[in-house]
Amino acid sequence: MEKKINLLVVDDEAIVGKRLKPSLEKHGYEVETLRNGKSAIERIGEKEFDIIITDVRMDDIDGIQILEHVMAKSPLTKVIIITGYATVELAREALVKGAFDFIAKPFKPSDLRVIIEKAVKELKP
Amino acid sequence: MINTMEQNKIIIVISEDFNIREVAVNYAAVLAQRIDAQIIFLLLMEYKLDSKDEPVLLKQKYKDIILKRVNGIIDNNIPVQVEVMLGDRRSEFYKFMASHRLFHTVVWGGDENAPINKTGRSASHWLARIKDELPCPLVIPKKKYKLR
Repeated sequence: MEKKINLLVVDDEAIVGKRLKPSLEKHGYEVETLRNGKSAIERIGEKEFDIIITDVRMDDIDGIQILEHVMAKSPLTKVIIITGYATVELAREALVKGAFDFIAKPFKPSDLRVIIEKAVKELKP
Repeated sequence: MINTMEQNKIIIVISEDFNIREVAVNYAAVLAQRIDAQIIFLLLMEYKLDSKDEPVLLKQKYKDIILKRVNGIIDNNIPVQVEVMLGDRRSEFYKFMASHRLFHTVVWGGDENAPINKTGRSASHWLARIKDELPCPLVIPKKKYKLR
């Protein structure tokens, strides 16, 4: 049986995880959701995720710090940055630091799925 | 050393479909000729998961369509490039801007009646919501421009 792709969604807005989890699970992904950067860093230390979807602005540790942490620890993990405060500079910073993709909120779930599927294709040997 | 002036001499013409307005193409061509710039036609399209074509093939197909359209309007020696980005338009535009350097002008080549001039809460168009962040002027050409 093919191993399920595991995803971690990090966003301090509860509604994001609440909406994304069932919609992604419906498409066969294994999804965990967390609401702050600190617990995300802890979880990333315990488990290697295939894909991490993270918001940027969070109270404790922001999405760019999570990206940097992931790139240092498991560079094969694909990090997708989501943000409600998109700017050209932020997009540049995310991409330069190794983000797989960048998407501005609000987005359609199908747009995120296109990005996830693109990441999955790159994960497959 | 990279010449900043040269980097600046790029005009982007944005569209959301294949019907790039002729006035926009002509405006960009006249401006490019005047300031010795190159033009990048940027097509921002949604990508559907059930699309039969792989994104790479689709991009090439779309590029060819845009080139044909543009070459039918301008036939001088202005350097022209076509870029196609598929996905959420606002996000794709941010990424495009992020992966390139400075631009001279952004030209709206899409529907003349698209609500780009509206700002604030009434801004329903993605470009209206981010136009104040653009590092260069945004032009929505409406009258005819003639090439010299």
